[in-house]
Amino acid sequence: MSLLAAAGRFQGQLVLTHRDYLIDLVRTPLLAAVFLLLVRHSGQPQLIAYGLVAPVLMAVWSMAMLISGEVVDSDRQLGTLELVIAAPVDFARLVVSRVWVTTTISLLTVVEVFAVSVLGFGITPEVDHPVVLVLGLLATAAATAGAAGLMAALFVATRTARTFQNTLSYPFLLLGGVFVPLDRLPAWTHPLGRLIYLSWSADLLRAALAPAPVAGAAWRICVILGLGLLAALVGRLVLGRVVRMVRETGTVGLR
Amino acid sequence: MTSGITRRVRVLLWAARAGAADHSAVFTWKTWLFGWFVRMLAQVLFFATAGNLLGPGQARYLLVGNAVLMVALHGLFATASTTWELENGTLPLLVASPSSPSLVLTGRSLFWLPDGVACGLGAFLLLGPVVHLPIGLSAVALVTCLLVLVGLTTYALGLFLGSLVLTATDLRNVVSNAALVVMMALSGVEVPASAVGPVLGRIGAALPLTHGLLAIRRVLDGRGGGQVALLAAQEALVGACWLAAAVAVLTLRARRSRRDGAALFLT
Amino acid sequence: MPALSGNQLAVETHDLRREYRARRGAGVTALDGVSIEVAQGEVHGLLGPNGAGKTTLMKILSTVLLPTAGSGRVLGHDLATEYRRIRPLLGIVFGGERGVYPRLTARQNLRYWAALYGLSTAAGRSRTEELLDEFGLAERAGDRVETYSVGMRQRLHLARGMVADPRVLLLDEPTNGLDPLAARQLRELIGRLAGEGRTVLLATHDLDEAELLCDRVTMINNGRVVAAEAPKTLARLLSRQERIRVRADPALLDQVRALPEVTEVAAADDGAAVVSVGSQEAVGRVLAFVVAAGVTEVRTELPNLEEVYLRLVHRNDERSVVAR
Repeated sequence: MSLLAAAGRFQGQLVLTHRDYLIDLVRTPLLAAVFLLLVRHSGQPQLIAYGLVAPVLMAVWSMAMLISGEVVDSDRQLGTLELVIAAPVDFARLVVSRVWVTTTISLLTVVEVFAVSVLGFGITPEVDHPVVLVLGLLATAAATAGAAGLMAALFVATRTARTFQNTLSYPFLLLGGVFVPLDRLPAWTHPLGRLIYLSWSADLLRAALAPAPVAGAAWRICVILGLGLLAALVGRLVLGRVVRMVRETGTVGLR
Repeated sequence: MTSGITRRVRVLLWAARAGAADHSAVFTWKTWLFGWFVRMLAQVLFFATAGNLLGPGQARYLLVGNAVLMVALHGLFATASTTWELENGTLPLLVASPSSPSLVLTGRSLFWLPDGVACGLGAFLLLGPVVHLPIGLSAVALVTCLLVLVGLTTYALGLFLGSLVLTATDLRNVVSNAALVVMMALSGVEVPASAVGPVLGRIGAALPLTHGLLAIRRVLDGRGGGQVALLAAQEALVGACWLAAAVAVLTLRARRSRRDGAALFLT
Repeated sequence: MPALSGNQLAVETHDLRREYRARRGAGVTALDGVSIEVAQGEVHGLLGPNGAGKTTLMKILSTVLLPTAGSGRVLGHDLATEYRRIRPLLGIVFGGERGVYPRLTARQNLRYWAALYGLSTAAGRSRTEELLDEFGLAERAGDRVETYSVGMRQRLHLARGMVADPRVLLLDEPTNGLDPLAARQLRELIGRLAGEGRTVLLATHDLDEAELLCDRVTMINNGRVVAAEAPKTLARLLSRQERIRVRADPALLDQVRALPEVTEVAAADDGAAVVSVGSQEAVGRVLAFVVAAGVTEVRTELPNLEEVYLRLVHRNDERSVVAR
């Protein structure tokens, strides 16, 4: 727990000194405006929940990807990556500890999106199922930390992964049903999309904002958490291999 | 010594080449195609599929808008890559040379242009059929020309933003991303200018991309000629203004840094 | 190379001051009234510890920084107002890794800078090949600079500075970070460039380098000129002490130590003894004494620049402490 706090404090300071990390706090209200414009222009008020959920999930995802990449990258550039990996703390836990802070910060976008909706569009979002919404957001944050751990592991394992970091945005947002629900995409995308926790989060959060009762909320929250846990475990597995590789070759990462 | 113009063009080309070397160090054709290009297509598709949800005709509107937005996205990368010059430590040497540093910085990020046009055009040709967008050969040629134009005008805006954050490298991505989303909202990418109201619409008209995108929509509607030419001319004018602003800021900063020894040249 | 004109100075500054405004608190004075004169064709050293103001002076001379007060001229052109005339005449080399494009090849880098200095395509091409040959980079000229050793990179920096065949070459710590062999190679190159009648201004904190390459050196500390002389004169100027190196048995050394002129007898690394003598006239008397005692291995020495440097800087610091 003390590791969690220490690494978290470190990451918090990093976020405050590198304004780059706050990119999503700047971009999200603007994106919310774009989505709400789209919905308003379409004349379908039942889609407002879609416009509110999408920017939040995009921010949570993008911030976690950014940080997991930067954590590894900046450490590699500083030459501290080897040291961190060789340090007697579990690297996976360290990454997760650093990621949770940014994930928590990215939940601030909920407030931002709410503000844009009320102030910019005169729409006060109606939260029909507040408990489901809060638990859904928390589960999403936890799963995001797990996914970020997996990504960090992949970034450590292969140098070229950084090049693909950009690739991790829209393909995942598309398949994760962040704006358009996965059910509305072609059937062949469903098996893949359901492996991405975002598709479960998006469906659940939209349901929390709709008047209809939410079916199987507990079960859906468990799926979100389970997928996050799975990602974290795979990440640990990858990191375990990397640590062994470091001890044998003395350097981190394959070209 | 040779005449001014050829000399300037040569400097511009060499600067572009230096930038292209940076680009090829980041991408191989494989990482570009399967990483970068796929990501661009996914973004266009993300919004085009939203069209299916939002109503008839929306998918096509959003596909066109977001395909052209990919060109603008590349133009705005100039914001970040302008600051790469700082990392090379070449700025003081540039300032001390007889050539203008703003000329070098103008050429420095031009390499994004072909990349952006390839992504935009690729999105049109590969995803057009998804929304049943018929596009003839002559239209392709005309659209390509307009994409190059949008690439240049948004590049000018990117350069301007880059000149503002030249020494605040941690802001470069924040600024260019914010600018891109503002363009999504105000330049007729996702919704027509009429949907954002008169004030915001006027701001949109001062941004690059707005007129160029309208021109492309006209071409795809099968309307050509005078109206397209007029819109293209307006787009070019907007771009020229942003370029002038960028060069002015760069020149001013170079002059000021001589006086106050700003961080620009002391790194 | 353009012909040298008249007896105009290559570089002159009068009472240059430069202050940096700090974001908070008081400003920092980097240069505090620096006047130097460098004749054409001279290799002039700027010597001083880190933070002495050398780099600030170099930046002002290379036209990227304006002085807060005072004036300066390069080849007769005013630094503040006629910088556009100065720029084509200057070659600038900063030490360290930065200043070239790591992802371009050496050849591309030189062609690029040739274009920036206004050489035509053909002239740029031939000048590039000339420089690649001259600086021993021809073999790897097609490889990206990021694959180069530090020494090769620094030779490329020097070649880059030479691209427009400048009349005045400003070198700011060019051998910084080089291993001894690479540093020696670079010094040989600099010596050769200086031999071509070019004016070279060399900022360094390496005394051997200054002694080896420079006709004259200006010592700077805390933004002020401490001394400006030929390296040898400077050493003499400071040596109120002369030294005699002798190889003798301990008994004789005790007698030497007892002589009134002798201030100190210290053991040298090689087993010999170094006898410090109070004045130049006393040297003869001490020499006569040891030779009369039958010692054959004996020679006199001047203190090297390092000692001069340390003492001058030290003296200057003491003085400024007193002044406060």
